[in-house]
Amino acid sequence: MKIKQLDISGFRAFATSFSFDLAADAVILVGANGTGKTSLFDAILWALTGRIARIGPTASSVVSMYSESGEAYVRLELESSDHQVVTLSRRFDGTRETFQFESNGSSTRDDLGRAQMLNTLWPQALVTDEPINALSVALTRSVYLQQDLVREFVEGITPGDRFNALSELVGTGRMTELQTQLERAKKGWTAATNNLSAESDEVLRRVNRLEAELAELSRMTSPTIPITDEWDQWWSELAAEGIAQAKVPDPSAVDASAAIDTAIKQLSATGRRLERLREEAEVLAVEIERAKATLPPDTSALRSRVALAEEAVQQARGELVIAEQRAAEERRALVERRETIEELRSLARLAVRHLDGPCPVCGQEHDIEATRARLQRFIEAPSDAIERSSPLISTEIAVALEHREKELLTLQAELAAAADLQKQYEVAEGDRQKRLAELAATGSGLTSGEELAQEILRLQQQLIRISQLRSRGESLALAIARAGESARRIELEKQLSASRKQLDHARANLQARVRTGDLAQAVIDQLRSAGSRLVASQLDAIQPLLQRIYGRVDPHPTLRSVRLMSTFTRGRGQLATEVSDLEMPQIAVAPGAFLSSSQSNALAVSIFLTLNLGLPFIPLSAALLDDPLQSLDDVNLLGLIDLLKRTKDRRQLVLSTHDHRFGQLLARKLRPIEVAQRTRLIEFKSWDRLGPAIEQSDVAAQRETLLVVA
Amino acid sequence: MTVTDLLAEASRLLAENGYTEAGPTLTSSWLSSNGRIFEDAYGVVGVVAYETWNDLRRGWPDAQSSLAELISERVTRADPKSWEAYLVLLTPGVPGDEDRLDPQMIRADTNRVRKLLATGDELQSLANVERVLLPLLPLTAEVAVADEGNLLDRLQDLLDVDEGAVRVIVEAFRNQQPILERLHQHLTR
Repeated sequence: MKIKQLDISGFRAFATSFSFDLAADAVILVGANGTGKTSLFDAILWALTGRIARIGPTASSVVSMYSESGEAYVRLELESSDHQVVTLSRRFDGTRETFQFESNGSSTRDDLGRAQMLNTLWPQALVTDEPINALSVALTRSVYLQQDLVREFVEGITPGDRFNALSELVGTGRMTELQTQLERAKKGWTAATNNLSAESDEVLRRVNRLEAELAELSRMTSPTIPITDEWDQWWSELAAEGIAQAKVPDPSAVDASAAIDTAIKQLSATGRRLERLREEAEVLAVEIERAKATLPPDTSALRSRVALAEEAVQQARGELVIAEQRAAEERRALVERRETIEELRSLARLAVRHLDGPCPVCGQEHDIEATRARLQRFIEAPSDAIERSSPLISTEIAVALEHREKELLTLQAELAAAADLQKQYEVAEGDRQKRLAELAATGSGLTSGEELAQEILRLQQQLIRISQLRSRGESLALAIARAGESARRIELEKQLSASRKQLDHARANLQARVRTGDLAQAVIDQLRSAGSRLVASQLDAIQPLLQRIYGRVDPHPTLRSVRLMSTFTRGRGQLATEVSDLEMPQIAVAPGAFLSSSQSNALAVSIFLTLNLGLPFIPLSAALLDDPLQSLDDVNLLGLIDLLKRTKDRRQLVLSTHDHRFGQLLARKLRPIEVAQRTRLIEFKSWDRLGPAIEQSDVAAQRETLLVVA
Repeated sequence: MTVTDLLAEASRLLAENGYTEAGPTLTSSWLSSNGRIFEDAYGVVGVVAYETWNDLRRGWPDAQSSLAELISERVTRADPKSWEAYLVLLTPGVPGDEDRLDPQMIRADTNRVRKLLATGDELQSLANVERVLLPLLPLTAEVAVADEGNLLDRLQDLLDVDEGAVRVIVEAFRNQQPILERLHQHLTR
């Protein structure tokens, strides 16, 4: 895209409306400082980016102090090499900015317009975090060399910033986008792979389960046999045993196994019931036989002996009562005599104590000693000298009574035991009769031990039949189960085969997916450094061009070689400029320390033009240089102008100078050399509140190519 | 290198880059056999090769005068081309120590025509002749810088990964296709 037309109103130095025809190979802006040349460049930059970093972030500063409408407006027409025209219009009224992008007859505004504009001019910006900022950097590094920032790229910014700026210019943004997309895709891929892995694990579990189930079935493998006849016979015999089924299923039916299971359970229950009856009958039979051999004891003799013993006891008790009455009388008399002795002893003791004169009672004299001796005998008379006469007799009677009572108790115990045995016998007999009656209640009509024996025999025979039936039923059930297992095995084998295939496929797929993920990760890892290496390789690629452009200006007598050098520190790129002596390559230095201001400017312009010409895709196919000839001495000036003269063939050149003489020189040097070429001269004559006084003209084309050698 | 080498190489370079060499008559009217006249749409170039530095130092003013005169005879002063004269001064000789600043002074002299000068210490090979003539040559040097598309293509060389896989990744990225799926298809085909 080249610049075709620029309309400015109320912007910076242009208070009123101005229109510039810039559809030329070269546009030369000539005018004294302060007449609006830089504002024209700024208008182009503002139309494209909405910002002019050079004048700071204040948006209102773009509005001319003398703007009649109070708003700034710039309209920029661009034309592609195939003559497609797009228009960018930006307006700022002091508070709000609007942007419009027109292309192919349709227009879009603001964000959408900006996106379309970027897509048209420099799609690389769209992959950055701040597209407009990226566009702004790209423009100021490769398209628009600003007057007061000429040497910035050489010595004004850090090597890291320089490297980053170059990275965006050489298009590594696309690689960053690729890396980002790849990382995002890898994340999703890994998540999906993990899900598939979980599904694969589930398939593996299913395979293991099927294998285990099949192994279990395989251990019980046996051939299946036809069972139809036996099946029918079995059910018929079952019915004969009283276990009837409403509906006998076919042995191949799904419910055959359940039906025979139910029938066998019923058969078993019947067997258990009959077994119980048989056991009961046998026990009863044994008891009956045993009862026959064991009669109940006869208690009548015992009862007579007990009666006699009771009479003897009664008699002994009577005798004992009489003897005891006699003994009681004797004891009472004895007590009375003992009391008399004691009373006399007490009186004797009193008398002895007072025996010292005549008798106090009768007053008679007496022989005291004889009296004392007599009294002494009373005192010393023994109280137990009186013997009983009947105690031995009553003791003998009591012993006899005790003996008879013991005999009675013994006889009574024997009688009770005998009565108990008789009772037990009667109870057992009653129980036997009852059980016999119960057994009889089964329908056999048992009344005797003989019939009971027959019943036991019958029960045993039935039990044998039931046992045989159960055994055959189990064989049938087994046959059915095996037939079912056989079918199940076939089914399981089918499922296992399918699951194994699924597992193999899933594993192979997983392995392949992991390989794909690993490869993607390797690419991601390497992409991180590849961007820097690409910048370095791009630098290597433009190095010859830089050398050729710098060589055209050739500003320094010895430092005639220049090189942009990239280095990497902790993964971050650095970009430095180095000038060196071609004949003494060991002399290589940073330009800032050894080049004069003029030489540095020439180097800066060389680098700018190298980037402008050498980079494959820049936002505009133009080089805008705002007064790059300042501070250049004559020889460097001529060298630079000769370089620009050749640049015009490759890029639309928009160039300003404050020096009228240089302006004329530029007009001659940048003249059209063939009819198809066009060079515009825009002279900024003066400036007032309305804006610059401008004269625009075409530089006359050269009529003949060769004048000297023709 | 000899004077002949220098002249031959300069002539070849200028001719190959769109210059037309003047015929012998015009050349001989300017200088003897060590000079050539060339012209393209932009300007007129006189190339003179001297055997020695001293020859150059003594002879260049005359060569400049002769060139200016020659041009003035054919180009009017009003014609822009009258300002587009260049004098290329070459010699395999090397200035002595006492003259070491002279080449730079001659280069810096911008009166009448711009002088492009190289002496033996700079002209070590034929390739050095092109460096002297660079300001006169069109900016047609091929630049081997890849565009953004080519940058992606060059990933195959930059990444230590199967080239086919990288190609598939780049292709999918360009076509906005699911990258990993395409890569997987490529790896499992």
